Amino acid sequence: MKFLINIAFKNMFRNKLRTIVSILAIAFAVMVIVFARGLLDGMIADTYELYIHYDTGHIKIIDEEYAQKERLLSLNYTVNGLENKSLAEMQSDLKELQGIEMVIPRLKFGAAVSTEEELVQMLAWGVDSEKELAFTNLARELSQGRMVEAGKREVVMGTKLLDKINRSVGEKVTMVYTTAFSSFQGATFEIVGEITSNLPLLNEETVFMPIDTARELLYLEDESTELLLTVGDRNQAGEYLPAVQNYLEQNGGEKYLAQVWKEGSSYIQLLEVSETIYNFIYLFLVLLASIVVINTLVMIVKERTQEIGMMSALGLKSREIMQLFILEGSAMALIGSLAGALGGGIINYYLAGVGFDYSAAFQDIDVLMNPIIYPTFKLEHMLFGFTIGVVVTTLTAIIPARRAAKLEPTEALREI
Amino acid sequence: MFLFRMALKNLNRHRRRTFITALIIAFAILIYILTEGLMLGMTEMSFSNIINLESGHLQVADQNYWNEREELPLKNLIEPSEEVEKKIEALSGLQAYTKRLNFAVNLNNGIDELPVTGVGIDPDRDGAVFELQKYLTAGRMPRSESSEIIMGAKLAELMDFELGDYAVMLIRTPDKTFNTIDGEIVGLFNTPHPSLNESNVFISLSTAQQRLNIEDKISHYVLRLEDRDKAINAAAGLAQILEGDLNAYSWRDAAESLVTMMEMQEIETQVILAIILTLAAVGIVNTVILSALERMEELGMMKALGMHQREIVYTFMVEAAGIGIIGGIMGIIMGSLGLWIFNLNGIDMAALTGGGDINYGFPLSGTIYAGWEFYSFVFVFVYGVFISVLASVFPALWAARKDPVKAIYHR
Repeated sequence: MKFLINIAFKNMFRNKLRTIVSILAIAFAVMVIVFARGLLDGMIADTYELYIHYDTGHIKIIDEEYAQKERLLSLNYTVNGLENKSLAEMQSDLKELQGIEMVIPRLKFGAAVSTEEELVQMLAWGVDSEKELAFTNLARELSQGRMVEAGKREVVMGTKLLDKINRSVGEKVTMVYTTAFSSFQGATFEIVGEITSNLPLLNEETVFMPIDTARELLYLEDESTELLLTVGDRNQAGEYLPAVQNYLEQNGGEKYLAQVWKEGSSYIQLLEVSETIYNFIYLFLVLLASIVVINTLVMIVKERTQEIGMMSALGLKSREIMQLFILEGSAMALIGSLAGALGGGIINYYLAGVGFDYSAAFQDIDVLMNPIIYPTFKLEHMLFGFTIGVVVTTLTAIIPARRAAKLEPTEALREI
Repeated sequence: MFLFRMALKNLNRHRRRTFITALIIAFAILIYILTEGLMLGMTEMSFSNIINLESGHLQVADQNYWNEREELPLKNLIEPSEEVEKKIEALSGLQAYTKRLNFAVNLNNGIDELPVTGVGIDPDRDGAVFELQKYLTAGRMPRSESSEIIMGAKLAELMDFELGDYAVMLIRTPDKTFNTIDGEIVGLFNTPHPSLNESNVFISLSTAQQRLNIEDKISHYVLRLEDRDKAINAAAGLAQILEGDLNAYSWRDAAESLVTMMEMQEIETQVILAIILTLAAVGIVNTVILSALERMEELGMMKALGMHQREIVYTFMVEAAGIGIIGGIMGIIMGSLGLWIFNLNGIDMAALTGGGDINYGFPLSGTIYAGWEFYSFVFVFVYGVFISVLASVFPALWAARKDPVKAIYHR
C-alpha cells in the first residue's frame, strides 16, 4: 500500500498545471460550502436564540384557548395556577422538575400612548426583570438607563418607540389599556431605560414594565399570560417536556398547553427544513467540482494506458491499479478540500466581525430575525466542508479508476 | 471558417468530456431558471395582489401623508376638489378611479380589542378599481351611508364574529376625542392578500368621514389604468400637473419594501449563478488544458506549418463556446421542463410555511406558480456562453505560446 501511495503521489506532480486546476475546483467548492454553512448557521442560530428569548422559551406553557388567539392578547385565558395551587406554587414546583433551570412569567397585553396626532399602539410586557436579564440579552441591548424594578410604575422601551411618542428617558408617559374586566383605563409611568436593538420587536413594538405593576393595573391576581421554562441546552428541551406535561396532567392543568420551542413557531420549522435542503445543495456543488477531477483522471488513464499495461504485465493486480488511481484522486481531494476549508474559514472569520445588512429586505416580514447576519466561524463548518469534499471526490474517482483497472494488459501495451 | 470547422471536429474528439463539462454549465442554467422562475411567479402574484386589493395602479395623496401613511394619520388629508378630479380624468389610459380613507380602528367584540385598519370606500365606485367583491365568501358589500362593514373571514373567526353581528369600532377623531361605530357585519371575504384578511375592515366612506368628523376629506385617490406598465410614467406625468403638496404614486412606490426584497432576492440568485458558473469556468479551464496537453504535438506541428498564435487561441475559444452552447441548450431544455413540471401542480404556500399564517414578506397565499420570462432565458444562455469563452482564453494562450519545437518533442 505504501508503494502505491508513493506512485500516486509522484504521478500527481507529473503534470502540475492539470493537477492544480483540479485542486482549485475542489478548493473553490469547499470554500463556498464552508462559507454558506457559516452564513446559514449565523442566521439560524441567531434566529433560534431570538425566538427562544422573546417568544417561545425552551418550553412554553400557555392556555390552550390562548394559543388560538395569541394575536388578540386576551387576558381571559391566563396561566393562573392549578386546581389547588397558585401560580407562585406552580412556578416553584416546575422549577423543582429535573432539568428546568428557570421559570419565567410574562404578562402580555395591548397598550397605547396618545400623542398630539395619533394613538401609538404598543405591546406591553409585564416581566420579572431579574429573570429577563438573566435569560435574554436585554442587558446588552439596554443603551440608556436601567431595567424596570419590581413594584414601581416604570417602563423601558425601544429607541424608535420613544421617538414615535416623542419622549426620552427620565420623562413620564401616560398609557391607556383595557383591563381584564374590559374597562378602559390609563396610568402614568416613568421611562427609566431605553433599548436600542436591530430587532423591530424590541425597538419599536414592545414596552417592558414590572409584572406586579401590570397585574395591579389590569386587576389580575397572581396570573400571567405565559410561563417560559428554560433548560441548560436547547437541544435537550424535548427530553424534559414529558415531565412538565406529566406534572400539569397530575395537578389538573389539562387546560394548559406545554410546547417545546421547535413547535412554537412555524418559522423555526421552515428553517429546519431549509437546513436539510441546503445540505443537499452542498453535496451537489461538490459533485459538480468532482466532474473536473473525473475529467482529469480520465485523461490521465488514457495517457498512461501503456504504463498501466506494463504494470499489470509485471504483476500489479487490477484491484491495485484501481487503488492507485483512487489514491491519486483522493490526494487531489485532500489538498483541495484542505485549501478550501481554510479559505472558507478565513472568510467566515473575517465576516463574523463585519456581517451582512439585510434590514431593507426584512422590513415587512413578520418574523423575529436580526436583520444584520453575522456568519459564524466554527471549526465544525470547516470540518464538514473538508469531509464532504474528500469523500465525494474520492467516491467519484472510482469511475475513471475502474476503467483503468479493466484494461487488458496485452491490449493496453499495444496502444500507442 | 477553417478554424471554426476544426474547433467543431475537436469538440467531437472527446464526446464524453465535452458532455460532462457542458453538464456543469447546464446545471448552473437549470438552477438559475428554476429560482428565477419561482421568484418571477411570486413577484407577479404579489404585485397583482397589491394592485388589485391594496394600492391600485396609481394613488394621489399628500406627500406628507404618504411618508407617514403606515401610521394611519388623520392629518394631511386631501379635500376632494373638481380641479384635481378633472386632472385625474384627463389622464390617458384611465379606466376608473375612486376615493379611499384609511384610519386606525380598535375592533372590539365586548371581550377583547384588536387594532386594525379601517378603510372607508365609495361603494359605487370602488368595484371598478379593486377586486374585493370577487373574494366575498359570504354576504355582500357594505352600502353607502350605512354603518355596514365587511372584514376578513379569518379576522371574524379570531374575534368570534359572525355574519349579522355588530362589531364595535373604536376610533379617534383628529381633535382627540374617542368615537365608536357600531358596524353591522354584512360580508366576509377571503382574499389572496393575507394582511388584508387579517387586519382590514371596510366601511362606507361617508359614514367613516362623518364619525371621524373630518367632513368630506379622504386620504387618497386610487386610479386604475388600462395597463399597469403605464402607471410609472403616468405617475410622473400626473405629479407634474398636481398642485401644492399633492403627489402621484405608482403601485411600485406603494410596494417599496417588496421591491427592495425582490432586488435582494435577485442578487442572491445572481450570486448562486455566479458560484456555479465559476465552477463551470474552472471546468472549462481544465478541459481546455487537457485538450491542449493531448494535442501538444498537433499544435506544435500546426504552428510549425505557419498557423498564428492568435488562430490557435481562436480555435480553443470556439471550442469553449461550443461547450457553452451545448450546456446552455441542455440547461434551457432541463429548466423549461422543470418549470413545466412545477407548474403542473404549483406549490401550496401553506405547505411552505408549515400551515402557519406567517407571510414572509410576500403578500400572497394559496398556490404559487412559476413565471416565464423569455428575457431571462436569453440572459442566462448568453452569460453561460460568455463565461465559457472567457474561461478558455488564458489556458488557450498558455497552449498557443508553446515553442513549436518543444511542443513537438512534448514527451
